[in-house]
Amino acid sequence: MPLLSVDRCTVAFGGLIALDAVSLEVDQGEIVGLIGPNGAGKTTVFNLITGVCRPAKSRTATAEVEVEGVPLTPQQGSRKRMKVHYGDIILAGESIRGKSPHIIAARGVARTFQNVRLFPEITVLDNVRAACHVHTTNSLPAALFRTGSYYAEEHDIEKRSIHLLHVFGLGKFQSAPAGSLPYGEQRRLEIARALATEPKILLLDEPAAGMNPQETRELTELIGWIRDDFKVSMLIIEHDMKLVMGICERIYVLDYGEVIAHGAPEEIRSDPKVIKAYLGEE
Amino acid sequence: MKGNRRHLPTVAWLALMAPVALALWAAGSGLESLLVPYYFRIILLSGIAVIAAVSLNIVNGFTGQFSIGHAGFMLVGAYASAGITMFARPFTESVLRSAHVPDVMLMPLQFAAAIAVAALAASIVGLLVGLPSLRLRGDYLAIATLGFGEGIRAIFVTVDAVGGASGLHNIPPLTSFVWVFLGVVGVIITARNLAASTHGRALFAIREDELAAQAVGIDTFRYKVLAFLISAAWAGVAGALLAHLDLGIDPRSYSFMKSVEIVVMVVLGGLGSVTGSVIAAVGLTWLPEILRPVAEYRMVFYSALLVLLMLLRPRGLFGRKELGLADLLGKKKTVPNANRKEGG
Amino acid sequence: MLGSIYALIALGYTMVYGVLRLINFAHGDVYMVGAFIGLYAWRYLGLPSEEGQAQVVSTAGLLLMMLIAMVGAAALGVLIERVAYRPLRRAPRLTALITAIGVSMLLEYGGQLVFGTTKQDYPWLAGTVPSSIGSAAGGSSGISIDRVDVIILVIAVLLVVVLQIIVHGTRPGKAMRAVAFDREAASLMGINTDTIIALTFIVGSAFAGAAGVLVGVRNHYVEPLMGLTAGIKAFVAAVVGGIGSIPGAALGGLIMGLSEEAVRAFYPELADAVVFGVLILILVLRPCGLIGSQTAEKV
Repeated sequence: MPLLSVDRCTVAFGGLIALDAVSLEVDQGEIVGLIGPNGAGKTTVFNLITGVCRPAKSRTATAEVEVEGVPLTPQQGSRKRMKVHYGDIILAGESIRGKSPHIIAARGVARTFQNVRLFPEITVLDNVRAACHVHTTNSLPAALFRTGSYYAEEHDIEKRSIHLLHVFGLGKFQSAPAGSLPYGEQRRLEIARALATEPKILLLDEPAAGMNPQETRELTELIGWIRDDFKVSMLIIEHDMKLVMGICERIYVLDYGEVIAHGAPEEIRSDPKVIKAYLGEE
Repeated sequence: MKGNRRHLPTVAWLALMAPVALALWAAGSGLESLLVPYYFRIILLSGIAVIAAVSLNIVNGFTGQFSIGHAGFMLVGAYASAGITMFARPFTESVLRSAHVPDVMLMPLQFAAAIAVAALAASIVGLLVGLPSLRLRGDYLAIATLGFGEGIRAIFVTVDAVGGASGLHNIPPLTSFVWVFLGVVGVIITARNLAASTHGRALFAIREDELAAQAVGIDTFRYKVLAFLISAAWAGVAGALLAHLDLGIDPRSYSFMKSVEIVVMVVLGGLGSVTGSVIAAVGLTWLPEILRPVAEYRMVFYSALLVLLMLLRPRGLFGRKELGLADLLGKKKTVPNANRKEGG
Repeated sequence: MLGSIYALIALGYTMVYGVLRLINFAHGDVYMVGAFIGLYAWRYLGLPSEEGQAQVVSTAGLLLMMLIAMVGAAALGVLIERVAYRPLRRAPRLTALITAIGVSMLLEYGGQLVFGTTKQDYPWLAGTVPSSIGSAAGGSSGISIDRVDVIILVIAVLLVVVLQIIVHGTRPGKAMRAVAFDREAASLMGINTDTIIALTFIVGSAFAGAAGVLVGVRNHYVEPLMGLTAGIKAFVAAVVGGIGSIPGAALGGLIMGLSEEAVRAFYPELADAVVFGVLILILVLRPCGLIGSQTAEKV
């Protein structure tokens, strides 16, 4: 069973179909690439998985038809011949479709943003500590009265966060405001912050954007190392083909909101549909 | 983690504070007998302003949600507490007497109950206001809280049972130095402990980037409502103290302008800085008194000074900085959130 | 009518909000100053008055008063923008807001110093003077359509039409819309945003000045604190209509004015509660106002 599976989800903005019955899967421990021309809907896939966008009704149904999330009995299905569904998003065997972003994050989906979104005015350490919030158990009164368990938990959070920062080479920036970091460090911090939520799967939105070849090489190593060390699967949107072809085990190609191809890097490289999407008609 | 290395729960701190409080009570009554009542009153008003400003800072400064309806919650607290000390008085007194409470403790206990009820009532109204309006963002939230604040006032004004437009009179004089002091300490501890905890960081994250906060698993709506509740509860306390200092409630003095006054304190002190709120609240309460010699020009000076200060220090007096006891003693250490360069 | 007055003030709020995303709290006080400028112009310039009646101004005189008030208010608006708001373009928005509140207070208390704290009589518009002047103070409440209301409505409609033509038909108007849409992009396209923002303040303040004179001849008195409530209500009207939208402000002003007058006629003490009730209802049901568009956040 795949760790994450998106099953025929459609996203519409007003009348515009941004994603049309998109399906994709990510297995445990796998690094999957998501590529496609600008405006193909790649970031929308992330927004869909993380609950920022909700799937719209779709009319590309097959046998398992459901309406408003309630599965129809076979009789109803055959009587009404309804072909409307919302698709589904399954994470580790449970549907996360229609859940709020914070719940999806707590279930184990973490992401970074195309245009880095840190908490700029709080410290680097607090950025990571804020992301530890999802696994905290202390109540508000415990914090207000500073009970023993509160101290224990805060201490634990601090230790974990500092460790994470050191692992990412950000230790020396710990008490600087996140917004003051150089761009590359901001990108690394965003990944560290995402990992602080202890995700099952990490969604990286153009992690190499704005990086020079040297930085991109380091990033490639970092990604492989994160997978091995943190035991997370990854779905990566990236334009840098060297990075994608280098570390992704499988690749999905999106064009005009549809998955036009998927497979191993070498298959994608030679797929005529993909070449056409990128280069246009001859 | 600044001074928390001592690892003393706040409860222990409070126990240590008991003799201090006793000393303060003595000092308070000493002060009261020494000072002209007029100045003593302004000291108490400054304390109440601190409670209102610091509590509003939890919403406006910590969480980045712009509320300008704080006076509405103060008004709720004022009426709720007056309800206990005026209307429910025969009942509570008989209950306390039957529990063999000594006579000297009767009024303080009733006032404590009144303050608690004020906090509760204000936080319930805060919940009712927060649930629909906290889905709005930025200026729209500000406008909604303005509307609710004025709406609450308009409702009280139309209810004749609580005095209608002329308000309530003959509220017993229960607000003393000790009560105000306890309130000030309480609200500062609430704000500082909140800020240092995981809950406070959730609020900061919402302020900085709501979407990113959701993406790391923070239930942004719940935390916005929570901040609103805590803030409203303390506004209720401030209202209760003010009503029992003014010995009456004039609904007109809890208008939009009152809310604005509190917002001004928070912004002038520096959004997110508890120290700033405290200093600005005290300063702005005293400023009109200090300007008294220039008589009719004083409010012109007051407003001109406000504009000037905002132009010179766009991020408020303190930015996001905090001053702790240790800073005052001259020890050097890094304070969380002390990262904003002041002056912009 | 009250509605058209609110509409005229609301226009200034909505235009400034459109270009600066700033709730210009001082706007209500610019309206107050406009009313006083009109009053002093009438008093000291010997504007055309109905013959033999010292307390009456002719329609031509009213228009002149308005013109002078509009120029004066516009100058004040630009001054405020220049001194108090422009230095804060890059500061946090709350800072600008507090500054606006400070300017508002400055105008109110300064106004009390300069104009005195009491109400001052405003001239009557020729043809609207009741037979016994002394007992006519009640003319400001209730739904009564008399001549002065009709004139106010006509002038207000004319001004809104003129504004619509300016904004949609002229180059500066187009530039104004461009700045409202995206200030940075507009400046990259060669639009001098500072000039356009100043222009917005000029137009908005001029409208407030006109509203001040009109409300003066309607209520027959002016006072330094008149901008406070009128300002808040006009601002609410701008929000109800959809802040940033010019037709929205006009519509919102009319709705707020009509509902307030209607309620005041029957339950005077509920009038304010209704104003804010309408506001909350609109915000909950249609957060962007009656005419306004939802802008989604880009991720």
